Amino acid sequence: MSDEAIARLERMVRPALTGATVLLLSLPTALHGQASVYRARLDSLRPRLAAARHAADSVRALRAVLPTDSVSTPHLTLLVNPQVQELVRRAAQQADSDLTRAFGARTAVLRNTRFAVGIDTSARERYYGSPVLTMWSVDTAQHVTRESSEYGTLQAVSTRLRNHGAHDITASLDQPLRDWAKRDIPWSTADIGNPDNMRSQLVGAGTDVGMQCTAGSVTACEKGLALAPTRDRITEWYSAAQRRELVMRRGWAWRRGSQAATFDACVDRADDARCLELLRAHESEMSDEGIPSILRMSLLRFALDRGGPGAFDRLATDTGDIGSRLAAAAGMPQPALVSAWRDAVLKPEHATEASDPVVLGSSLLWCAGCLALALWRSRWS
Amino acid sequence: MSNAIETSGLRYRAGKSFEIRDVSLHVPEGAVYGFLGPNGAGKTTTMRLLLGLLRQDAGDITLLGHPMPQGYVEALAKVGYVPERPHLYPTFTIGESIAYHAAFFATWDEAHARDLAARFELPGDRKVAALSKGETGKLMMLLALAQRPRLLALDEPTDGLDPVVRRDVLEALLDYVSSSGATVFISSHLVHELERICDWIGVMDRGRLIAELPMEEFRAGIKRLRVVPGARGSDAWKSAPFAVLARHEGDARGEQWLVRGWKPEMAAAVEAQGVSVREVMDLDLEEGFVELLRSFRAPAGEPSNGAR
Amino acid sequence: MFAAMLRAQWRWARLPIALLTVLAFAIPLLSVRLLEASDPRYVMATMQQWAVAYAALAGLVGLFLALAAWSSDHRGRHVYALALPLPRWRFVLNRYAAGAMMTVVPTLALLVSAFLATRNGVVPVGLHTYIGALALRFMLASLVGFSVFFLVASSSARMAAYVLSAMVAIVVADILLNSAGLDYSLTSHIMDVVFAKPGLLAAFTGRWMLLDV
Repeated sequence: MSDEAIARLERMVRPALTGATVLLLSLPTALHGQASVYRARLDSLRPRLAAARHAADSVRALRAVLPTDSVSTPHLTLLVNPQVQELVRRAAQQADSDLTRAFGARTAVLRNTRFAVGIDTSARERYYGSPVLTMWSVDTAQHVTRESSEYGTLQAVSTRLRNHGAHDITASLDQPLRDWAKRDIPWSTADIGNPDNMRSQLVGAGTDVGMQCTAGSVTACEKGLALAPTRDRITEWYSAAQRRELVMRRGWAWRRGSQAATFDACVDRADDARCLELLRAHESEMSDEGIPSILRMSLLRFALDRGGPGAFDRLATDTGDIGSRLAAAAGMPQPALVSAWRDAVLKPEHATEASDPVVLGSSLLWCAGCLALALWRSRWS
Repeated sequence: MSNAIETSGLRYRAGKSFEIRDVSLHVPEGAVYGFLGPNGAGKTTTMRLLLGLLRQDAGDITLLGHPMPQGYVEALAKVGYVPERPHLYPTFTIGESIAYHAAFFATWDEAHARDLAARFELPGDRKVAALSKGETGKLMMLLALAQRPRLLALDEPTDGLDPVVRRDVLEALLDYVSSSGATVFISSHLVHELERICDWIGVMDRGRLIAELPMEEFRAGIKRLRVVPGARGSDAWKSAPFAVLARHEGDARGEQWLVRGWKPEMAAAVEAQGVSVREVMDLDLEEGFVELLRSFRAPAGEPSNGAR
Repeated sequence: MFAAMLRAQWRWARLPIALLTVLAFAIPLLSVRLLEASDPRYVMATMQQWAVAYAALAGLVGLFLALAAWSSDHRGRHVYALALPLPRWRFVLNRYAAGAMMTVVPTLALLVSAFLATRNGVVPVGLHTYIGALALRFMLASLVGFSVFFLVASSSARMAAYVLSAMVAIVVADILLNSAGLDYSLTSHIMDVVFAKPGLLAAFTGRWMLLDV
């Protein structure tokens, strides 16, 4: 969009904005006697005013971050305004190196994408009193990010770039792998979530396959992670008790109507056949994950880390099913991979915050500080 | 004779309107020192300064040879303190209060505590909160005495007590003093009470120490004179060899002068000024105290108008 | 001397502490007994709900111990304490140590109760018991709570007024910032600093779970 076009848009928006503001300010006085009648009209004006404001802000943001320079790394091209050029250069170098390490030769797909990064000091909505950091993909006009520039640190900008990069690389993969992954492939294990969360997700999967996987069954893990086929998820993923619990938790609406008797038989008499009947009738409403899909990312990242350099390329180019592709990436048989991953996830390194040395140490220091302050008070000094 | 308490140039400001100024106290060891003053004179504040409960703005304090407030730990170990208001923990029983207090004093005399408890008829299982004013006073005195102190600092210890309890408390105090030779620093506005037991007095008013002298000297030096001024004697009081604290314009029988520093041999000097001394009357401590305050509060150079 | 102070403080604190000890004993037992299902997900969710009770209880233990440590002295305007022949710092230290020691009582109750509650194999596959860690955390939070309240309670009413005024000022500042259109919450910023580790009250946050992964 040219400067002239932006200026034209601004010229169009500004009178509308000013007019709406004047109208809004003058309305309460003018409509004093008929407040209730006009309040509705006033309310209807508000969304329009907000829309006008938003349009003005967007224009202003665009102008503020209008790139005049560019930063290039082996795989990334970024349009930047001079204000953030150095920051973006360093962030891009860092992101490029991380992405290359994580995705190997596939990182080359990023050469097709140009990002724009800028700091909008004129934005109306200021986050924590700081100007707004804006970033978007120029070619696709996607991934527009607006956040406080307080977070516009080197780390934050490079993380953004890595995330956008991971997204574009995932988008370049084949459909079966993307369908299985369900989300962008993380560029590092740390990007998935903390180990406690992974462990909670597996232990608390709420399915029989999840529990069996936790207990050590690799077959159950494979089923839950959609690495092995599941013919009937209702019977293969859930135990009879879990089926009854599913009905209890999800079937409040089934208490009435034609299914009431079946519901009672399932819940009150623990009649598994009735539970099955109900669940089959509502199979489409049930989760299609035996184990939460976030753990697929955990497994994928584990396989890539195990496989070392070239792992992602093997994953991307292998033509087998997902399990064999992961095994190829990791350079080890699928059962061994799944078993090793399971052990890693359940590795008993969990510690509550009480044993966290930072919390323990800082809490004791705070206690000592409070005591010192109490001692320091003049009456007791 | 060394002093159990000694201060010089003591100064302390409490709030905007009240100040302890230039208080220089000298409490001889073994003395029973009455610290007199009207309400609000600064007696309690001074006592708290002496014990290190407050920190002076200026001046020096020595308590039983220890500089205060620096040496408060050593000094307070030898001081039995009865504050103006009951300070004991109300949820404790008498027995618990005694046990708690005893834990802090190496010189605690358990037998003496038991004796005093029996003498004061203080049952160990009674709660402090349920004690009468007299019982509370007796308990505080028990705690102060049973620690076998070298100095008893008593801030209005008998204020509000009935005569029987007051007698019990004072008797116990005097028994201890006579047997131990301890120093007593007792503040009160009940002048009659102090008259019987004190051998030194200090008088405080408006934050200043206005007199400090042995009781005998106070008694002997402050007199009421009935005089008849002669024709040239109307201003004779100004050149008298003693201080005239107050003049009462009298009738035909003459005037009354309240004087300090009177000695019988001064009568001739007064007569020589044309003033005839008709009668020399002794004053009790309270009258002397009141007149002393009046003279202190009168404008400088003028004896107070003593019309009563 | 310390024993006398400990006895005195125990006397002042024993009623509320006894009550809180009963609660500390009841919570782990109840949290496990009231479990309706053995699904780890449900167990963890339930444990997470009970976590608030542990943290609140620790705060109350701290509060009551601190109040017990100073309320009697406040009533007598500290005259008795100040007239005792021991260094004042030592007096404060003794008061603090006595209060801190008493946090052991509810902690022990919690420890025993947690042990009893998890003794009969109620732990689902994949979950572990954190008896010691929970008790340690409870004691740590009680200590922190006690220390904070101890500081406030040992101060004058004026100091308490200052603290209260500062809190009101923060809330007012927040309202003003909000009405000025700034998307900035001083309160939440302060809360973040206070509750995030290594903040003052970090011990009160996080997972207080008897049964956890």
